[in-house]
Amino acid sequence: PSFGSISKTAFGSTETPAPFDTATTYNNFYEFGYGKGDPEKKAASLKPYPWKINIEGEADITGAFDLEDLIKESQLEERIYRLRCVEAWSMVVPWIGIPLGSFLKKFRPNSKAKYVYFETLYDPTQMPAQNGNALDWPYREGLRIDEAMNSLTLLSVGMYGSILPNQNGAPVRLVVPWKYGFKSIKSIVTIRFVEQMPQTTWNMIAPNEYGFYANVNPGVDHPRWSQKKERRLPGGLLFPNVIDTQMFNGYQEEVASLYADMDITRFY
Amino acid sequence: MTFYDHPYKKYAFVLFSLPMIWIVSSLLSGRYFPDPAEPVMTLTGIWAVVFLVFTLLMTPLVKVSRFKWISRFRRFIGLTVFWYSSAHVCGYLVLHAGFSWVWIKEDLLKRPYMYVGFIAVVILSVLALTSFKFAIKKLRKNWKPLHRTVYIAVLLVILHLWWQVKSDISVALYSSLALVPFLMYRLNASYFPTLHTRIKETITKIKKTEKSACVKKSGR
Repeated sequence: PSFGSISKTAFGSTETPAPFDTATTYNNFYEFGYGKGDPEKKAASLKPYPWKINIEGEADITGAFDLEDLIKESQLEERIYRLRCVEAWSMVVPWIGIPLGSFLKKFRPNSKAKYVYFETLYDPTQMPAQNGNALDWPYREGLRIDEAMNSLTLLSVGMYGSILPNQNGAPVRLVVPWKYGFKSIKSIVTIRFVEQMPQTTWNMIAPNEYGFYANVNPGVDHPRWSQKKERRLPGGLLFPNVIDTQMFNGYQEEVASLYADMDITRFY
Repeated sequence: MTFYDHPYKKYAFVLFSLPMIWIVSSLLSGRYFPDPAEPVMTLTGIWAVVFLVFTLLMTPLVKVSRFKWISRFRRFIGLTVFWYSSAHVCGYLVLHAGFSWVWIKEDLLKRPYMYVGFIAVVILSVLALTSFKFAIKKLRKNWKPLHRTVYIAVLLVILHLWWQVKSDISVALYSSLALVPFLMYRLNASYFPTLHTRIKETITKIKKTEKSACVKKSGR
């Protein structure tokens, strides 16, 4: 598959994206192994085309849809976003996709749809590390409906002007730039509108370390390390490029209002 | 007697340096790019634990006469632990934190996982500094108790390893499986003398069978 027209946006116009090789060889994608280099080496077994997405739950329109049909009418945008991993490294990536909000609205979620739940593909033949028990498969993530509808939240199908490489979550993934990277779930097969806050993978493993919200916040440390700083990749060969971590990863203007009446230190 | 008093020491030196040579050459060639902190810290940490296990193995091994020659390498292996753990710390300071003092201070003061590891390295440094003849002579009777604090370092290392687990427990698990028996042995010796005597008896038995084997051999 290839893309038609992609409209440029102002997002990240002042940022310098990481080189393509950096963004495609340094990945956390435990479905292909623990190592940062494993996804690039092992993701060839993933078959992203054709791809079906199940839309379920509290919406008027549900069912299994072909990804290509779902996005062919939509205008693709390029957005350069900062990606901040909970492990204290970060990267700037030029994503291609459509706003998740406009995508979700097509299914007409009803008033009970308070949250949106996402699931990654579970298929050990395509994702070999799912034979092990690194995580409780499939990978699960979720957003509050207003977070999902926020104009920053992107349903991404490409990066660097082309389709998503397998190791980056082909064929379709989330990009939620004001949250730690693990919220941006990859290779999505299920989207479910739900009333209750859904269970999410890292939160299930260690609730004291990974909150449901997981908003980038230099004031709330991970129990085992500080979140005040980050290594912006790539740095030098021997010396990292250490910079200050910004509140909401620098997207306060767009998202701070979502949490205006919440204690974000408690609901991290 | 010099550092190289045993002819095999130069070979041991090369052998023990191989992992470090691999790590440093990989780092310089960009194999760990773009974020070398994790692989360098993981590998130096693992090798420090491997040599720590070897060091701890010395005490039981030299009791068996067949392996007495190995005691000549004792300090050497102990120092290797020190070098690898120093590299581990350097990996953190430079590659992970980029000498950002704010970052280092935050980690060292607030994270038990960090200061537990740091205390272990301090202990290993003190042991490395007092491992030479001069220090042994100066410290006299205090030397042995001082160097038994390596077992405190072992305990701290185990804590450090479990505290750093994200999802993959294998490093913490295998390291603990290798290290815990030595801790048990030491606890036995200090706090459970009866059990310790039994272990001693077993060692004596092994020695006896060795001796009788030798007698048989020489008698033939």
